[in-house]
Amino acid sequence: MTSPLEESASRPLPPGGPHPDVYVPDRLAQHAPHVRSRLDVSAVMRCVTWAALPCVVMAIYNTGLQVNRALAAGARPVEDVRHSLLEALGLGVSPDSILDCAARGALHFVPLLAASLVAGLATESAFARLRGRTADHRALFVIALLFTLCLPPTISLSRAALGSALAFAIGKEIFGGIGRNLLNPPLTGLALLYFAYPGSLTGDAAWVAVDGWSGATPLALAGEAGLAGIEAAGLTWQDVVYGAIPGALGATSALACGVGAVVLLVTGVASWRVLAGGVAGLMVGAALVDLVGFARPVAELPWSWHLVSGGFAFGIVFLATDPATSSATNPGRLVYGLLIGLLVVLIRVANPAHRDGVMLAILLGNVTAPLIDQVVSRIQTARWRRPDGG
Amino acid sequence: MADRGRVALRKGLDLPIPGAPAPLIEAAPEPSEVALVGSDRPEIRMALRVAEGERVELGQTLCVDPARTEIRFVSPASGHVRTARPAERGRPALVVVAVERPEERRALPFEGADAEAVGKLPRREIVDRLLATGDWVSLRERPGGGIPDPDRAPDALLVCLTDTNPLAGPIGPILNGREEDLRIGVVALSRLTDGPTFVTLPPGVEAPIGDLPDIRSFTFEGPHPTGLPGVQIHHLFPARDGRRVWHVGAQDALAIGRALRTAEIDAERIVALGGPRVRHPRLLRTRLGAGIEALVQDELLPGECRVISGSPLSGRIAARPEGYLGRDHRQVSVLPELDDPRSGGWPLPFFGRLRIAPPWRLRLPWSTERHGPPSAMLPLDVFDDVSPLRLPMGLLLRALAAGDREAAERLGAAELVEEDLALCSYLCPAKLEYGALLRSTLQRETRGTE
Repeated sequence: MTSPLEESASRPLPPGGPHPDVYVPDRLAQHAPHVRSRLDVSAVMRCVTWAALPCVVMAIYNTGLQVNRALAAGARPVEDVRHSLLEALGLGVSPDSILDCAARGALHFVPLLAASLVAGLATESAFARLRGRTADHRALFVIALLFTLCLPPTISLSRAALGSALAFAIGKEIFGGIGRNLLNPPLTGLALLYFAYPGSLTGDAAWVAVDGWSGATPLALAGEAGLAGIEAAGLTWQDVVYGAIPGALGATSALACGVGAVVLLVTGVASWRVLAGGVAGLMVGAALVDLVGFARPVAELPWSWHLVSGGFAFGIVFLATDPATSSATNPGRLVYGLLIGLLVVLIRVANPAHRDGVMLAILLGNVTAPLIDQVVSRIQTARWRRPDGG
Repeated sequence: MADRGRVALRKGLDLPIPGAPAPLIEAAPEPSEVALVGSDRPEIRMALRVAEGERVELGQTLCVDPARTEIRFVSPASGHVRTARPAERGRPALVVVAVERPEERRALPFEGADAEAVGKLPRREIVDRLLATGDWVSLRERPGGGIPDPDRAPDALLVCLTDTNPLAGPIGPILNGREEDLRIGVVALSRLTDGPTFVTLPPGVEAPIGDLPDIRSFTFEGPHPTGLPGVQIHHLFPARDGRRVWHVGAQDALAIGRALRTAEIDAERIVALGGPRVRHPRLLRTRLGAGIEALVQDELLPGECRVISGSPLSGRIAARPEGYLGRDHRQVSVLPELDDPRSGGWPLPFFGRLRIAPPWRLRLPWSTERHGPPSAMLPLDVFDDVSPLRLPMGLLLRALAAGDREAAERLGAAELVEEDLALCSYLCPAKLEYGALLRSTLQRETRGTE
């Protein structure tokens, strides 16, 4: 007599499904836990990309707007490919027409993004080839996008491509890819570009894509004459929040960055502690500067102006929160954000050659993050030694 | 139990997998095979004590721990040995017993006793009785998670009546009517330690153990992993700085109580059968090591699925040749192998998997899909937000991913076992298996010898 079980043993597969000895398709969890969340690295990257969408919209519109305003104010139009293309499309140069501005801005933004993407793709592929591995392009788009958004609109395509290649090579690939890098890749590329070609990333002429036209950023204005200088240029705090002002491609609008911050926080990709720490750092920094009494015009700026001007909002939302390069402990994230906020104010106030300071502050934060984590974990584990066991 | 303590943990995550078992116990068909699966105790390289074809009684030794031969794994049924696979390189031992009637039980060298009599027994006597019944292997020790050494008394002991694993069964119906067994079990276990004995209960369940000296009971409230012994030990009596804590599960404590009361080995266990592919999720009364294939026969809905011995978070695939209930598993979970394309569907096509916001609130088509390839660790703060352990989780997981044993131990990895990190593996966007990484990292030789 055979038991039902012996009969079932002759069946090809038991209802239990595959065993470790049996082939389990690679897209399934092979071992415990047998359920996995839908969050994967591509989803994290995609999430940052979607969060940056408002900044992209602003980059396209505002870059065109600044050019058209300059033209309306009497700048000499440049007879280049963009100009001919716009004429061929029958588009004008009115700063009041959203379409005119967006078309003009897109002709600046899209080629730069394409150059960054191509350079990044080439770098990633080259490293993969050298290592004999399959190339991992999951972070390509988001790094290239964030890098492009940090660039001034006047930069040449070749320099953008060089910076992007450096961002991918030095910021990411030499460490072995995303998750193993020490520094935020877009900022690494930007910093290297900055030290190689300081002229093309600084100065009042860099921020409006019209040759010889000078468009001062709020921080530049404040650097000359403080808050009064900004007001003299006809800018209010609200203007700076909306971001229809000269500046880096995607970093002018604090409002767009705020929308991105909400997306990143709700999806759990960014840490609220880094953001809160960053804003608190600005407040503390501004208060300290006030207390010490720096004799520089930019020292007059209250924290609310520091928050919205320059690249701070963009940097703290999209670059400082990069989970791979920020602190990995909860108290550490607060300290890390705080440090970045403080450094931003200090660099802005103490170094007249460096108007913004966000890039350097975040890179310094990245470098300090492992140290912060060490200290935090030592404090946490030291608590165990107490007689009550923590 | 007027002074019962209460520990409420806020952090954690309950996975709303459909098919939670109903609080209803039914007898499963008597298993025709039972087995001892060595891969459930990877830390022990079991040495066989039986040969294929041999007749065994219930309670007869099947395997021993070769390093401590008094630690025996006994047969949960009588019959003849169908398979006796020794532990060979990379392949743990496996003993399968074909169950035969009438049942022959190995006689135990002691008389039945009540709680009062058990409370007066010396520690050594309790140890001997637990070794004789084979119930000693129900005990686990922290740090490490191995079976404890009978000669070294622990600094504390935890009887864990909670289980917050997804699809875990409720404890109420299992305790119902077995107050005396629990009482004797807890009293006997408390004799093993000179330190405190903790009994932890889920909220809303009364502890039917009465007022016992030296025994402190606690209600543990909160989402998974609050109900895991590792988390409770971490909060009640951390197993670090040389302190050792033993723990035992609810049904094992009941079995110990019954064995001491009646002087008969209790190999009966109640398992929760649950999951989206189960027709009638409920509790089933069966035997230790029962064949799972027979257990789930006629219980499943059609479609390809994975049957898991244990919880979806920390169990093992139950398929031939190891398709038997694990020694410590009180659950059988059944999950679809692939996402059902009809059940999911993302209204926002571009966002796709981005609907993580927060992902655990969504009714997902739960399956064994991994949702992405493994990659390098990203220390998101969600790891810290779902872990009730007071450890720097981001750093700890990163140390494990890097295989850095020194750092992992400094950050508190030694007091954890695989199941404590299962939720982190569930959430990890890099799809790393931190449980496996924990074991491999802690087993790693200290560096610098090469």
